[in-house]
Amino acid sequence: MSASAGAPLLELIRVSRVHGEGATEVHALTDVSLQVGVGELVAVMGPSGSGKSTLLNLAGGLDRPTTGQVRIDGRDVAGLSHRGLAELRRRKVGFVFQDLNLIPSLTAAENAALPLELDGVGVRQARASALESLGSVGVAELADRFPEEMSGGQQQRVAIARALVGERRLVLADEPTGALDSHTGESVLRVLRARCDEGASGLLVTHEARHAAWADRVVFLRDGVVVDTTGAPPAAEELLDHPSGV
Amino acid sequence: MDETDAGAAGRRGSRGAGAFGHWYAGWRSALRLARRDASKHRGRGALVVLLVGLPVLLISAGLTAFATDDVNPVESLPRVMGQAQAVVSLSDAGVAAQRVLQGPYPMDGGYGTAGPAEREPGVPKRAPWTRERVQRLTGGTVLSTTTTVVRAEVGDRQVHAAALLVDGRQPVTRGMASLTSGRWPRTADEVVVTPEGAAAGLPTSGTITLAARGRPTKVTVVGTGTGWATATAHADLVALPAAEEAWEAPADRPQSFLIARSQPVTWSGVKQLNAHGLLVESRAVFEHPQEAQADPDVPPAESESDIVVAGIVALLVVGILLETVLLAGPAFAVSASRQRRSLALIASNGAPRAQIRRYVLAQAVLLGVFAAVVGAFLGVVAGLLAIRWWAASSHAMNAPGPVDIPVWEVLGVGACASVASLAAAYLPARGASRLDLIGVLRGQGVTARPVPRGLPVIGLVLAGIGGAVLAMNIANDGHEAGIAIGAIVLVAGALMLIPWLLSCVGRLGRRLPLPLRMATRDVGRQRGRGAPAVAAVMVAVTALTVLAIANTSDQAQARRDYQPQAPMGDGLVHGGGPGWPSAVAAVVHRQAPALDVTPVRRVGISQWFDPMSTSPDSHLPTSTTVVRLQKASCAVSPPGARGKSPVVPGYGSVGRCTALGSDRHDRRASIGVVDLRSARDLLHLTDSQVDVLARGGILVAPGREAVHDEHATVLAGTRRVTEYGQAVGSLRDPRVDRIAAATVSTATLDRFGLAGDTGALVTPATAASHHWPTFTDALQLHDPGGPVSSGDEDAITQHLPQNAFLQVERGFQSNLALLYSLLFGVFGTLVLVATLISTALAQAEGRADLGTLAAVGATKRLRRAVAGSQAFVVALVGSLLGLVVGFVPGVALAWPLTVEHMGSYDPATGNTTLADAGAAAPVIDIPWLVLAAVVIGVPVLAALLAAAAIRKSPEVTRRAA
Repeated sequence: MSASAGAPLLELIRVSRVHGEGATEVHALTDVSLQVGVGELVAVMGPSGSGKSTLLNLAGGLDRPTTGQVRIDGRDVAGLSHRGLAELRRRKVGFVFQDLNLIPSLTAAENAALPLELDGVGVRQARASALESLGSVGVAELADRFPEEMSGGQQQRVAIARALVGERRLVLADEPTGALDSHTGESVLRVLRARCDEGASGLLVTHEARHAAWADRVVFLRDGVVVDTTGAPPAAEELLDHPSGV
Repeated sequence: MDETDAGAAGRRGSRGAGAFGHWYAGWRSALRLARRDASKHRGRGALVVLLVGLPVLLISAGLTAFATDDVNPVESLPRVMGQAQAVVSLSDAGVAAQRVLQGPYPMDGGYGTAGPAEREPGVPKRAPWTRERVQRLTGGTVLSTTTTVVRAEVGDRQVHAAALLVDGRQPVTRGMASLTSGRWPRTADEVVVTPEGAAAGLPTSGTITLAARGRPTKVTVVGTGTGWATATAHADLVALPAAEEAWEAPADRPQSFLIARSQPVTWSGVKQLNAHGLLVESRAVFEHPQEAQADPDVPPAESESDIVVAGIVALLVVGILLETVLLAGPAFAVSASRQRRSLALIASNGAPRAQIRRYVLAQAVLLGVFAAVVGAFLGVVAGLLAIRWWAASSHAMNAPGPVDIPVWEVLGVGACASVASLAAAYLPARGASRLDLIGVLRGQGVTARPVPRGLPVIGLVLAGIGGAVLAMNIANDGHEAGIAIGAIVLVAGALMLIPWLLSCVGRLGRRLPLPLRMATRDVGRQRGRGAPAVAAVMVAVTALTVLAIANTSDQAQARRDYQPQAPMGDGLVHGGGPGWPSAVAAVVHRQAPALDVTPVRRVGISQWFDPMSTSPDSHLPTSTTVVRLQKASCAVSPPGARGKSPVVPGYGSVGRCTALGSDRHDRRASIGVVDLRSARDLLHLTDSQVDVLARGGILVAPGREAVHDEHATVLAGTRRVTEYGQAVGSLRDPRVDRIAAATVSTATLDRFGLAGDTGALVTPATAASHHWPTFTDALQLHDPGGPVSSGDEDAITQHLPQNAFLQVERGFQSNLALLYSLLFGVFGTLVLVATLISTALAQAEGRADLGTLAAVGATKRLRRAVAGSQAFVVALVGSLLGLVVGFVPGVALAWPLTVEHMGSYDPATGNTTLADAGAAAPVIDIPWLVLAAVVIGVPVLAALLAAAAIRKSPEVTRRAA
């Protein structure tokens, strides 16, 4: 089943996640519902320990909810085997982390082509798609460089290119600018925003309001509970001029 | 690692009492962290302990087993002389007429004679040595002792039994023999049987029939006990010295005397006894040989072969320890890599580079010393157990000595292993001390350092020099030392080239499938881990290639030069003494009735005599008829100069007129006597050849120039016979006969008895009609169904009478299969171990990358493929390099091994000349299949094992909230 036009690409329905039991029981997320539509960038904000990364892990199928449902492109993640989850990550979902991003022994193009190669696409075709994706994030000229030969911002752009290579349309970004200076971080988010405007969907975990400002919606978490959800945010450039204003 | 300790270490160090205090505090802190790290990462610690400890265990076990197995002179004392001060023997067959020149250990180091022996006043010149006569020279109490071998009848078998002849009742013999049950013999016809004798089949009670002096003698078993025939061989029987009179011919008796007295027999005392022609093994000299060794008359004890063996052992130990360094290196590299952040934090807190190095080296010290101690202890225990097991097995030729732990050698190996461990950790430690602090603390990946430009250049130069040295050795028929030096330089050069080669391999991966691409790039980037692993594989495969090429070539040469001694698959029984052929034939008919027995008879008289006996054979005639086949070109001459040309033993110059003859001892000189049935069935002669024999003619080998006009001239006459069966002196009463003759191929003649012996054939009737003497040289055993089976061979051998032995011709027997199994097993395992360690470390180190792979949807299959590819690339690169590097020294070693300065042998004439010496071409045989199995098979196997070891799918690291 595929999400129809306007249908959410990612859907969390009353999701709860409890770690441990008895005296050590911790409610990481409680009854959270969230939708990310096609072309939409949703930011998740909250203090440390609020459940942001748990939310992202559940959204990417890295973890399973204690109760509730996680649906990606209409498919319930709970019903997928390990193999099915791996396939989902190859074809639908891309991750961008603060670190743990690129394979050091592969070039930028090879890193970007990785999901396609793993999916059995021919090397030449995978490389063509990767070059296209790299071009879309503005680093096509770095295609044959290894990660160590690129700056942090360039590496994150390549990671975004990999997250959206081929038919992949959902980017799950966990503090993607955490290791970057502010200027480079903004440029990376600009790229992410642009890709969403072209039809991708994104879920961005951040603790910086100015980064959340690039999102269509911001979900605020505290102690595992959604405490607020903003509507349409102010324009990003406006936020840059007034960084304190969320 | 506990990061706070480091800062503390720096502080404590800086406040310490000067440089030593600083150094001490630094090491104390480093060792504490190493201990915690080892207990935290037990797998890695155990791996290092295993890699360092296992070679120590193996070498210590070998050293202990060797030292225990070896019976040194002091250890041999109780076995050879009990509690006596010395044992005195007669030097030359019981006569002792020559003054003896001996070393401290005459039975090991040999001895010589130097002029006539000193005579005691009033003793006749050739008077026999008795107890009393020895006692007059030595003082104290003198006891007779000796050892001998007798043949005992056990059922229908004849068993050789080693007997110690000594009076066990005397306390001075304690150590030579001991009683377990019963009592010591009191008369010459009583014996004590040892466990070894019982194992050989001797009864432990009742009577035993001994075949002594050619006639059966019954002895009674009066007890069981132990005894030593020599320092390294158990006796089967212990009897009184008086028994020798019943068992041995008087002149055959070797005599020894135990000297029991309170004063030791010093070196000067030994020399005094030597002057009387007596050999002396002295307790005092054995225990303190310095004076004897310093004696200018004594030749140095250490032989060249001892030095060579010591050199080989040293080379082996160095090789094993080098392999240890290369195997353990990656473990330390990964350890240092995983501690990068901790080390960077320590450095940021003020630790100098030397202290950072110490943190990595401390692990090597801790784990290396622990592994060395454990390995040495277990090695000693394993060595002792191994030698005990070996001594109890049926393969052991010698009895081991008492427990002997070579403490200094084992400590030395342990120390070397600890140093090897430090050496393995040195490069990772140096790398760790040069960290990019900011990069590491920011969590950035570490950039692979470029290979220093000079290194590959130096490597190439060294490899070139090594190759040139080897090539020179090949060109000049080489010497082993030159080859070893060339090989070491070549390997050193290749080791230096490895980092550069790996970076090249990394660049080659571009068009490879993803797992292989990642593996080649990984090995190119992570050279700290990859280079030692590849080097370990290279060294192992180099050694394998050298040994495989050298041994295969050596065997190929041996196969080429092999000359069968009898028709393929047939057996030959040689014997001696009166009536042996009928006794052997009876044994064969009883034990293997399916075998055809053909007597190999020859014209002449038997030259057999008992090599153990010094007495003349009373069965020999004093003169005999000799038969010579004359060359057709020679006029038959009267006896004397013309028919008697000099014979050079071993080279067989052919006389001017004698083509062959019964009194000649060179190859293909004898005249075989074969009946017509055997001529047809065994030798497959043609009808015309059989016809010549049937007409009383002779068949002659080609090239003998004896057959002319289908006839040959035979000269017969009488010559004197020596006590050893040789015909000597001039030919008397010559007779000349002209008989029918034809030639027969040497291949046909070689079907008759020992190959190369027969030069002509006649029938028994022909020999009888001319009154030529004939004798049975051997019995030929032929199985019409094929080769004589091993079962028949064993059954016959066990029942053969004394002085008869069987040899079955089975062609060239190669031991290459065993050698290849051994080489493949040892070096294949080394390659596998090196590869799998490297792969395991790569997997452990690459966990973050695996997480990333998982995040983009990689499955277990990809993880397996990556692991398999990593193993394959390391093993393949190392193996290919090892093959290339090992090829040159392999050929260089095979060259001198297979270039033999042999004389040229002419099978037609039986001549061997030295004129063409050195003409034999070297044999270079490359065992491609074995090398391919290692170079391709082992990497594939390593890849499969590495892949199979992956049990889990890659896991995406969960992000903490």
